[in-house]
Amino acid sequence: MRTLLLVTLASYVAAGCAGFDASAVRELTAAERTVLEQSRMRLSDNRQSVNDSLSDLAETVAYVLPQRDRVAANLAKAKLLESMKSPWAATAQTTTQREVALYHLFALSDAENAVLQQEIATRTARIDALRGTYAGLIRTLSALLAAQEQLLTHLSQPTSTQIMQVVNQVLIESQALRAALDTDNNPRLQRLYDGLVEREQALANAQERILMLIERIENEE
Amino acid sequence: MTIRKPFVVTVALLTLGACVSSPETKIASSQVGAALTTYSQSLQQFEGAWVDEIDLLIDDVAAAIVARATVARVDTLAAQTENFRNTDWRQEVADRGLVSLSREIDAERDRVQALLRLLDQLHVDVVQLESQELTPAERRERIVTRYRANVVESMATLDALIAAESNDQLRAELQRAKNNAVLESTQGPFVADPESMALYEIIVSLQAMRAAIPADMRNLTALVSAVRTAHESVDRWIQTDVTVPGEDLGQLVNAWSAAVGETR
Repeated sequence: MRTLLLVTLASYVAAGCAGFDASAVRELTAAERTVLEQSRMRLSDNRQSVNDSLSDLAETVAYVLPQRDRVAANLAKAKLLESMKSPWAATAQTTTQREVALYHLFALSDAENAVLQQEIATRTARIDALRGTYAGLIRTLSALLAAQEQLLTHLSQPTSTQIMQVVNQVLIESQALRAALDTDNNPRLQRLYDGLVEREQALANAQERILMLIERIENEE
Repeated sequence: MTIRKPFVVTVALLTLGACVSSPETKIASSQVGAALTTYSQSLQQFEGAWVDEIDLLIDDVAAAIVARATVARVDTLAAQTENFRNTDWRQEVADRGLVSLSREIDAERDRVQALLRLLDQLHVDVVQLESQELTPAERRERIVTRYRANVVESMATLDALIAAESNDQLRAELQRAKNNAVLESTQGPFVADPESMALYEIIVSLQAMRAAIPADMRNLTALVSAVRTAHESVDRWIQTDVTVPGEDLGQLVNAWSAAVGETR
């Protein structure tokens, strides 16, 4: 008799205040919906401000680097002219000699420009990586807000299939961010990457355990 | 009669009106808490990477200004020594060789580097002594005003030095410095080079951008912190199987809302 009572009570408690059903979750109050919306708006405002700043940075790089290298570029040309035995010093240069000197200077200038463009591209890519990282962090934080919303709907509720969404979206965004950082060699972003790897593993494990628990409940029903 | 512990716990839960959260909800909730902490730390790494990029660019712009001045000096010297038309330079080269020309170029580079350091200090003064809320254009204007005032002050000293100097060559150099100071007092630190001034404006804008980063990140960190604080209560309720009273939830939402409002 006692065992039967125990089993009955235990199953009632295990089933909780509602059944295992997607519709078992509670409706959020107006205040809860408002604060979630406020939080999302703050994220959006911050994103605008940071992106504007990073765009300015990328434009400035392309403008400044060519000017920074002016002395080095002029020195390289001077050395080239020296290596050509000071062609400007010859009093009776032929047109061909002058053309040869100018073509050498042109080739040097071309090579310098290629190096410069490569550096601008590298720096721009680094700034793009920052922008991508930031976007990834914001998306992950948005997913965490969505997770918080899901948890609130499960508050004082036993369970539902929707609980999987709590971890799932965070995991997806985290994976996307880590993938974007995979080839980046910025040391600070690498530290960020390392933190993500650890968290991602924990999220993946949690997702697996939740999935197993839900499958077990479904099989028992 | 012996009553087993699980029985007592179960009955107690029911009697207290507690609602047991499922194990999967508990797992999900604790993961959300841990993730909020991790991503909050990630924001700091991002902030560091962003600041590094701005600092690097500020150095590049400063190097560009120095390069402009150096190239301009070389151009001037080249023009002066062209065919040795300029008597002073012909004599200079004859007496001391081309090394003196090289020193001229070094001196110009050093002068502009010192000028940039001084402008940096004036920028700090403007922000600390006047306002942190100035736009980059307002900052630049006030920095230049302070610079001109400094130059005007130095002119009196130069006048006194010129008057007291008996060596002709040193007096001529002091006079050149005075002439330059006269130009700077009206035209600003880069005198007749609007391109260098434009580059300097970029430095001021980048410094303003850099100064604004902590505020942007503080806002974001405060938002994450507000969500995390709210989640700590939610998680505690979930982990301890508490049936949450409506007023407790209302208080949590109010506190969360107030914290989010402060992140504006």
